[in-house]
Amino acid sequence: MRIKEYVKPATLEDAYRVLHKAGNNVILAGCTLLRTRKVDIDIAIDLSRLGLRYITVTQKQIEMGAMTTLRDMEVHADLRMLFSGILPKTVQFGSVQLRNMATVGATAYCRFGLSDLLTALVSLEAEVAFFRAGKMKLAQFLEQGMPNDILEKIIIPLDTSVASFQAVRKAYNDFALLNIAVAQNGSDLKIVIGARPGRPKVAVAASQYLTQSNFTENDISKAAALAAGELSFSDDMAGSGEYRRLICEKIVRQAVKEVLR
Amino acid sequence: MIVSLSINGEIKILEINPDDFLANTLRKNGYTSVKTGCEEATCGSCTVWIDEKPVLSCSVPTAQAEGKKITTIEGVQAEAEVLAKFLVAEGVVQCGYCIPGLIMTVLAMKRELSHPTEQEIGHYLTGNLCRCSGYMGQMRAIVKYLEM
Repeated sequence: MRIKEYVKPATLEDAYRVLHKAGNNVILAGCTLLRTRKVDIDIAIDLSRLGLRYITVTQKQIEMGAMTTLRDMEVHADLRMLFSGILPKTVQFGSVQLRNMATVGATAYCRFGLSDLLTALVSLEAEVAFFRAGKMKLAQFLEQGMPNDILEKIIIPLDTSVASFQAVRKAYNDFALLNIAVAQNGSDLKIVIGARPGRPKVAVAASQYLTQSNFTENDISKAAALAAGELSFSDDMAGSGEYRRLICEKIVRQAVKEVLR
Repeated sequence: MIVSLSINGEIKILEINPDDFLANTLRKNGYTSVKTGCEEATCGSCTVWIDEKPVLSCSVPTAQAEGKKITTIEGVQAEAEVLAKFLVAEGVVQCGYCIPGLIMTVLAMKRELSHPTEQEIGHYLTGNLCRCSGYMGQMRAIVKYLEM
């Protein structure tokens, strides 16, 4: 992989303009996967001068700039307290060095199917804000993508009162074989399942059933069975789709119970 | 392209290519403690600090490090020598290739965590791979070093 030109724009407007010049122009973030890239880059656009590395907590929401590192999230005191502390748990993959480089913006923009963070963020109704396209729900973005725009920040409303994040993995810093987030917002419960190994998705029928139920042991089991039944699970080198479906039911039950406790 | 890098407190004006990575730039300019192993952000041999945080210099574009404070083991030599004595005493060093990266990560951990448990040490150092002597000796040495 070769980079022909490297620029550090001073404004988002400049970065956007360079991105849309003719050629294969690429936004750089933490660069953790850059060495594995095969395709040459005409202009590499480094966003590090744009002040996009921040975590701001207000009374209504959290805003995280796209260049915020996963390690910034992991050690942030407020994030450890909010949403039952699930967010720092979702960024503990790989090494400390890697997490000092990898950014939340790239994690979201690349729509990594194995990401723990995205599963948790979808459960918390997070939004993504783009330079040109403006704000949209993260769940919608994960479905449709947003090519050739620049992700500025991720916004997490503080409406969720309780949440649980569960993942099955072979080692604590490995990618998950399956991950599940359950969040309670008012009387609504939302079940999100990721690392299927596809992108995280809301288990809509299971979430609706659970929200309208009396939260008995039977209700929780039925919601878990619905969740495992309504989403697709595939094979990869970590495990089979069938295995994922089998453990899904158990982990959903566990996560729901944790939220209801 | 020309960049100005702050390396171990010294400002260096260097001519680089747009696709140069920091580990190679450092080595070319005499900081040969920085080792390149996997060259895809996995093994930890290339660990240096950027703004006091350990990162994998094999995957940091050199241009991205401009304006930031880069520290290699040469910049923390006295501290590194103390830790190295503990590593040697436990028979940790065989080929020694991974040791500069390991030392940079341990020294970063020492600054970041107060009184880490063995599990916390293990988790912090999970990105520094050693293919010769293994990790038990490393753990013994690091625990003794932190207790010093």
